[in-house]
Parts: sequence; structure tokens; C-alpha cells
Amino acid sequence: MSGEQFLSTSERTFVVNALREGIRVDGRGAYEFRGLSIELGGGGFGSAEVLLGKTRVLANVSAEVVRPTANSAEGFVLFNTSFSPMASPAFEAGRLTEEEVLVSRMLEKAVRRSRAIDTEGLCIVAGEKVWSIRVDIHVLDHEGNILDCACIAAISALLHFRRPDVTVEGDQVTIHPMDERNPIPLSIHHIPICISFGFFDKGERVVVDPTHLEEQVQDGDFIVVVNTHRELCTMSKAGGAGLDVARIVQCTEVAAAKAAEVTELIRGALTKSNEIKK
Amino acid sequence: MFRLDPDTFKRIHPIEFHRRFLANGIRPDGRESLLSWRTPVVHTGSITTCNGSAMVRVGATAVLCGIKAEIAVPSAAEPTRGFVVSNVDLPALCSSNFRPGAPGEFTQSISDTVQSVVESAVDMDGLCIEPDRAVWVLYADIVFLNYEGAAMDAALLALMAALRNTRLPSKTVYSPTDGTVRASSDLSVPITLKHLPVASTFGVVEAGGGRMLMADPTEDEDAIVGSRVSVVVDALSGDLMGTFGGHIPLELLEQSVVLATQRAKEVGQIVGASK
Amino acid sequence: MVLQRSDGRTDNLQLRPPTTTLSPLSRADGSARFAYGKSAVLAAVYGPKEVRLRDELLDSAKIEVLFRPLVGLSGTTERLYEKTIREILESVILKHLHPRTSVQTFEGADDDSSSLILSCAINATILALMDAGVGLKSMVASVTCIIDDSNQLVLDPSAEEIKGAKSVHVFTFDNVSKDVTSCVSTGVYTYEQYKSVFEVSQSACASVQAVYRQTMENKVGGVETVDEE
Repeated sequence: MSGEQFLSTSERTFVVNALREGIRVDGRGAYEFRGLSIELGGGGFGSAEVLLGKTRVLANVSAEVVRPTANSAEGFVLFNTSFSPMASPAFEAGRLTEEEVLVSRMLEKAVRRSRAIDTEGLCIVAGEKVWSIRVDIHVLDHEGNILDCACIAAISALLHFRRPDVTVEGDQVTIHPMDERNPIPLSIHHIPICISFGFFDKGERVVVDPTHLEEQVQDGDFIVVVNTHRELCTMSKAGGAGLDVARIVQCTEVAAAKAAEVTELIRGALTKSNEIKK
Repeated sequence: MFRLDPDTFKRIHPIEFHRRFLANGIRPDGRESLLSWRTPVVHTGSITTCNGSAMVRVGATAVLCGIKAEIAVPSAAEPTRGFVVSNVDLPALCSSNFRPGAPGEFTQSISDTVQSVVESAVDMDGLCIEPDRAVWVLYADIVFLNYEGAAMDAALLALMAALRNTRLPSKTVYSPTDGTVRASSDLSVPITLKHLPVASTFGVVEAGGGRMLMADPTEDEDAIVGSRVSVVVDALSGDLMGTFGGHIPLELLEQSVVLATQRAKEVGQIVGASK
Repeated sequence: MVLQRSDGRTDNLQLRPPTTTLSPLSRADGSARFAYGKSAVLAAVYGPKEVRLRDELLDSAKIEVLFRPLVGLSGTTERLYEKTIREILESVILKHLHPRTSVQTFEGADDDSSSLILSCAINATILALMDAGVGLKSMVASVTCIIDDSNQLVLDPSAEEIKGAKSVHVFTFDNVSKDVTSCVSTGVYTYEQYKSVFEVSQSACASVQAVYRQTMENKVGGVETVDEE
């Protein structure tokens, strides 16, 4: 039995009626993000805890040296998303909800398959030793729009992460401990930001960063992954009510603007954490 | 007059059933006091396809341990350290309390405690073949064939007896050209054990107006016990090698350590007598 | 001789003042974060809530504990932690007040410094239960001690100190009786060492319980102490 509470009809109509008047239940504008706070370094290099409104996601990056496949000279980037049962009564340990599957797949597409991370730079000795970077994402509190929050957490953690320095002399590979030699950041080509839209009233009303309540009411969603250079990395409109094509273009424009804002916030958080270290 | 046969009474009123025995200081399985132990019986070397094996019977509990030695690459951080990987299995056949499928919390926690104890007991550097290239890894499978309480005690005993029975090849040569290890086929080298840990499990029961220790509870007794404590003592030196306990008053904790130390010596001799 | 511990402390028996945060999560009925230094555990409580039919107990709440590390995979050690926490909760929660319900606690650990995480998890869970308003018989607190390789007793070790330790001890005491609520010790140690760890842990737990009190007072805005009879 799902622990999720059912939504009443009056709540549903209230949200839609308010949107028809141009008002969101929490007072935001249609294209306004909730307060975003990014905390880096709580668990060492490569740890980020992101709060988007009340939605809370933790990302941790770790690295180990492994054998590559065949004779390849590329490292690995692995994602592991887990929706902790502490985030919502609807999540149960061991049972994967549909939402969990969708979020982890979108994250993979957004960060790994968009080639944001330079995997060739993860090679130590071609065919023998490469770095395998693992990103663990934990959803701790579900108040809507887990995907955007998780993406910001993942990318912030990757930007913050430092791997140990390595020297290769012939056959000998020395991995220097973190306190001996300064650890090295990952080589990241671009910063993909995921922006989710929820639409209501047969596609007439579109909002960005839906809350949990809005997600339960929405007719469908539309996800755009874009970076600050206005390059579209991933786009997803999987089912849901039909959306006018002009709306799609409009949303992509909004997404590009939002992505630039969010990237600035991430950069700010990174600079702040570097300053604290000094 | 209303009468119930003992088995029915045990089912319907398990706590009352055991309380009647406790009041008289005897146990349902015939043991004479709350502090008497079942004597373990150890047979070693019964599985010839393993490098070492042991079968232990403690009352009705029967557990089998087989050890296979394989070669592995050591970790970069500890290039001369070998591995012992132990796993305790309480399959559905050993007791009706265990269902088929993935091991439950009880099984996994016993596995973890046995693993943490054995890691201190074995000389891991003695398992090195070639530093940073090849070490022995001992896979120990501990399988319960019948379970009647005191899982930790029986599992650890079987594992230690099997380790004492384990023999590795007398000669091993690492060849750097192709990264292989050649080993002779005669198995005659024993494993170096730094300690011989023996576990003793007690239940804490309400009896005679206060709380008392009940040594070596059977599965039925375990169900009515308030909390438990397992004390692991090295039979060779008398040092403690593990304490895993729940709610227990200090005096009983002290008493359990004293009793466990005594018992470790006796059980150590039983294991020592086996090959 | 002034000892220099790896994190700058100079006293082997110095307990880092723990940091606690109440209600960091909004969906859970109760939540708390407890940290000794950098080792932090976030605990969330849902309950008393509807129980699955097969788990239903006629006279008490069903207590479930789920522990997941936030870095890396979950294994047998996490099951041992769950068992330890669950056994503590079974004796501490007033479960007979809520028959045929379930109380679920979830713990997530920020780093993998093993045994210290268990102490943090126990403490975080107790705070989260208090935050959720689940009745408890007593306040239970846990500390970790080690005997290091020079046979010194070190209270509240850092992750580096635990790595080289000869033995690691996690003790949990309540604030009502003199009993041990839980004791988990691994490594090789003598009975004298064990007794001294016991005493040091017992007094350290009392100071952690004072931190609980302070945390809860901050939440409810001060409580007048009632004279005890």
C-alpha cells in the first residue's frame, strides 16, 4: 500500500484555477525558481547538498582506479541514484518507483551522455589503469522537481571534486595521497543544467520548477537540458497532454535563461568554497 | 482437570513454559543449570575438495565450514595483505524461521560479526605470495545444516577449526613475465593464526525476581530472552576479541566475560585436539 | 607530554561537542542530523503509521530500521548497524502505546568512517524520534572509544584514529538506569581496557544526553524543571 496521500479534487481545482489567474500557490511567478542553496564540501571533495525550495538532494563523488574495458584509454563515469525512503512515504526500500527510474535515466542522459566530463582525461595507463568516477545521488526530501535539484547537485559535486594526483614512470604508477600532492579537479567540458516544466489546463499554463503539489496536478511535463552557451544537450517530452509547438520553443528560451542563472549560482558556490579553503 | 501436553503448552505459552523451567534452574533440553553449555563436537577435513573444512555440532545445531584458497591481486594500499572472505548462510532447511531467498538481517549481521572477528585472528601478511602482485584469498563458506540456537558460537567455531585444517601448497612461484602464479600440488602449509577466538552467547532473562544470564540459548529459549550478549575470547591469550550485546546490567556483563573466558579455554582445547 | 591528536585536540578523553540539527527534512514526521566532528548521520522517522498486514503486531508497534550509506554500496555491516539500532529502539520506544502500527526510521551516513557512524546513527535516530513525538522510555546516547596501537584509550576518535586502532568500542547508555543499552566491540583488548572504556563511555554519554536536552529545549523554547521526588 502506498504511503502517498491522495490529492482531493478541491486541491486540484484550486491549483488550476489559481494558475488561470496567473497565480501559483506558493506565490512565485510562472518562470521563477524556488530558492536554491548549494552547500559544497560537507563530506570532503566532491560532496554537494542542494536545497531547491524544500527538496533536498545530496551528491557524492568518489574515484577509484580500475582496469578499463579491452584496450580502451577512457575512464568511466557511473551514476547511482537512490530515492531514500526518508524523502517521502511513497518511497519504499528495494522497490523502484517509476519516478526513480525516469530521474536516474534523465540524469545519465544529461550529465554522462552529453559528454560533460572528459573521459579520456581519466586515463592513467592506456589499457591497464583508468579512473572510474562514481556519483552517488541521494534524494533526502521530496518537495517536487527532484530532477533539477539532483542535476545541480551532481554537476556541482563533479565540479568540486578533486582526484589524487598520479605519476607514471614506465611501469610504475604512483598514486599520491591527498595530503602529499595537491589533488586535481576533473576536466569538465560544459555544465549541463536540467530545467523541468510542468503544464496544466491542456498545455495553456506552463510553470518552471513545479512543487510536489503542482507535480501531482500537472497534465504533463517537459524537460530541457541546456548549458550556459545556449547549447541544447537533452530534451524530453514523454507522454502527458499535448503541447503546442510554439510553447516548446518558448520553454526552451526560458530554459536557456534559467540555465545561465543557475550556472552563475553554481560558480558562486564553488568560488565561496574555494575561498573558505584558503 | 485441564491438562495440556508439553508441546502444545510450549506453543501457546512459550514464556510461561520456559519460566517454569527457569524457576527450578533447569532447562527444557535437560541441561542442569542456566549456566551450562552444550559441548561442541568438531570433525575436520571431511570435504576433500576444499583446502580446509570442519563440521561442528553443538547440541542439535550442525554447521559446516569449507575453505577454498584462491589467488588475488592485493589492494594498492596494503600490498602484502591477503584476504579472508567469510560468509555465513542460514538456509531455509536449517530452521523454519528462515525463508528461502536473500539472507535476512540476522544472517547478515552474524556474517559481519564473524568476518570482523576472523580478520583479527588470521595473520594476513602470511598469505602474501608476491608483494603487490599476488596474495592468497581464503573464501570461507559457513553453512548451517540445522539450527538450534547460538549461531555466532557455532559459526565461529566451525570457521576457526576449518582454518586450522586448511593447507596451502608448499611452493608458490610468481612469474613476472606473464603475471601467473605456479603452485605445487601438495597441500602441506598451514595458515598462521595469531589468535583463536571462541564466541560464547548468553541470553538475559528475568528469573527469581532479578535478571540472570542464560548460557547458550537454544532457538526456543532465544525467543523468550529479553536481550543477548556474545563475548569472543582468544583461547590462547585470554584477551577479548569482540563483545556484541544488547540491554544488559553491568554485573551480568562482567559475569559473562568471566564465564566466556573460562569456556574459551575448554573449547580451545577441543579445537586444538582436532587437526 | 602534550598529546597531539590528528584533528588538533590535545586530550585523549576529549569529546567533540556534537552538532545537532532538528527537523532538516520537511516530509518526514521527525528528522535530525547528529554529527561528531565531520562524521554526520541524518535520520528520519515516519510513524506511528499504517503497518503492512504481514508485519502487524497485535500489542505493539512494529519497529523497522533502514540504514543506507550515502557513499558506496550497502553491505553486511549496514545490516549489523540496523540490527543494533533496532534492538536499542525495541527496548526504548514505548511501542505498546501504538499497537498495530509501524514506526520506521531511516538513517543515511555521510562518510564511511565505520564505527563512529554507528554512534552518530543511534543518536540521530533518538533525536529524530523525539522530533516526531514518538514516546521513549529514556534518552539513549552512544559514544565510540578506541584503544590505539600504544594502548591508550581515546574517546570520540576521528576517522584516522579509528583506522590504526587495536580495538573499537561503541557503547550506548540510557539516562535512567545504570544498565548498558548496547555494546559493540571489535578488535583485540584486555578485560581491564574494556572496563576503563566502559567507565569513560558512561560519563561521555551523560554529556551527550545533556546536548539532547539542550536541542529539544531550543525547539520547544525552554522547559521548567520540575523537582524530582
